[in-house]
Amino acid sequence: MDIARAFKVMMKGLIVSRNSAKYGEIATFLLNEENFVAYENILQELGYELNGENGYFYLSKSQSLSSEEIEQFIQSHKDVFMLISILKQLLPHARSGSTIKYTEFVAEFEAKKDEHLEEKWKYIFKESDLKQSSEKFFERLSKEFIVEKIDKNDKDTYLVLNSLDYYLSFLESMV
Amino acid sequence: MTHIELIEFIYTHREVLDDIYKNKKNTVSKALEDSKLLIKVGEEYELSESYQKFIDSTLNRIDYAVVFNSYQAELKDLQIQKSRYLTEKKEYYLLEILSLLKAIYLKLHKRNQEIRTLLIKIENETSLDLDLLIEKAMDILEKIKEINQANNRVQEVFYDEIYTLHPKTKKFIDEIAFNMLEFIENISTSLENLEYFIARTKKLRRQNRKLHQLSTEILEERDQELESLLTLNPKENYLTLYRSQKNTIKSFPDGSESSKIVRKLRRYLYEVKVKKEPQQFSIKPQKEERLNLVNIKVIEEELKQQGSKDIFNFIYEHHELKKFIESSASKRSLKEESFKIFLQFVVPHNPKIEITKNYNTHAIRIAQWT
Repeated sequence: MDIARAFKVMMKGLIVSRNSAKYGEIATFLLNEENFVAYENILQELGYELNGENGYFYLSKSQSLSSEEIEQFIQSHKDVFMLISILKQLLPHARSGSTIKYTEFVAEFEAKKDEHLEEKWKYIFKESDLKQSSEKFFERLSKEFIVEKIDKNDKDTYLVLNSLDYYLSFLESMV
Repeated sequence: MTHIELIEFIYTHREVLDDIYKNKKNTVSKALEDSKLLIKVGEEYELSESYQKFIDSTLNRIDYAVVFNSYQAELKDLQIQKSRYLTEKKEYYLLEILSLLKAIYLKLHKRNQEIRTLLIKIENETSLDLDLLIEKAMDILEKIKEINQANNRVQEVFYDEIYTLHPKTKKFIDEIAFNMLEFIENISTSLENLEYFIARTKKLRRQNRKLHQLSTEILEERDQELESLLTLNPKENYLTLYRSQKNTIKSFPDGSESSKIVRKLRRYLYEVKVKKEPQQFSIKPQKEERLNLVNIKVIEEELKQQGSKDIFNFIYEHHELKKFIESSASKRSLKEESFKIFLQFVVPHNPKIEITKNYNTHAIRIAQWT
């Protein structure tokens, strides 16, 4: 692992977690303070910030955001908060490092379905077909790097990545 | 029935017994019905208490409702036998004492196993509601505290009252001393682990509740606090570089230029080999909460009297906050501290406060005190 390889992956705008099978090596590399500082200095010259703690890392833009970018940035966060809120409503034990099951999620959805959950669901998805939406829900969580399949042959089991803590850290600052 | 016949009997009826264990069956043969392995409750059959206990202890299974009895009865008996031995000096009483010491030791050993099993069970529990899980964990914590005290009492009695009674008691206690110490230390570690687990689960419950609240605010478009928090310092936040169709960041140069930069970086930098570490899911302990020592009342009073076209700037420039920052032992950011106070004013509904759609020079929503 070197800085160039880390950059090649992170320039895609993703968040790398230490417990990820795909990107864990990069996060482990950046946990070394020397590597972090060296990478951070280079990135700042390119106009980007290197951020991360507690086992997750990501790049951000150094310059101020335009109004359009602010809007987009805020909306993206709201969408992910809504996804995590649904996940935690149905699987309240889920935390960074735990494993979750797709089938259990679907069963819990049926058992705990209420008006609030449906409203949250509609905020993210338009489809009324639960099965299709649940699949999309996990696809979306994976796309946001919140979960990752443990084994590509196992369609049921997912690992909750350290990046979840990034979103949860906001809650600590909220009144 | 001999022991070997009992084993054969269980083997013969293994499938029916297993079905009853799993609550799947309620008809049994006469031979099984007459055995001491089952009891009939109404129309159904259940495993007898003694057989159930045998299964649980052999397979290291435990119920949350387990009762850890203390060693009170055995210790009391020990004192009686000791007193008789000292008076009459008969070998019989010494054998009774040794037998009691062994019984207490075996009980300590059993408790040690049960507590370890119980902790593994509760730490991996995902089927219980978090409120109930916390309640059960607190209950177990109390039980372990009691066991901890009882174990210490056993240790005191063994060493202070029995150890020097006779060379045989001394020899026995010396032989079990190491294991006894291990049990006592295990209990102490279990207590720490369980307290940590409870704190961690409470934090999880708090986070879940806040998430629920936040999702409601987003749905009802009452999410100014989140928006303000995100815009406080966007360059420290994720998702400022939104992903394009090709999964590369939108504001970055195109693919060919990215490759050039990667090549350039390689030329200037050396490679550091990093061994892939085994995955560890450690959770950092919660940080201690800081006390807010700013006199918010003073700021609020002045806002009420003077009003403000930009509440954040008003707080940012206020002498109370500057005084607090200067007198603070740790390094604090004026902007962050101002923001925390700002939130305390704007989050609860206040008819005097009007939140505009514009941002100030600190990239914070402009809120006016009318």
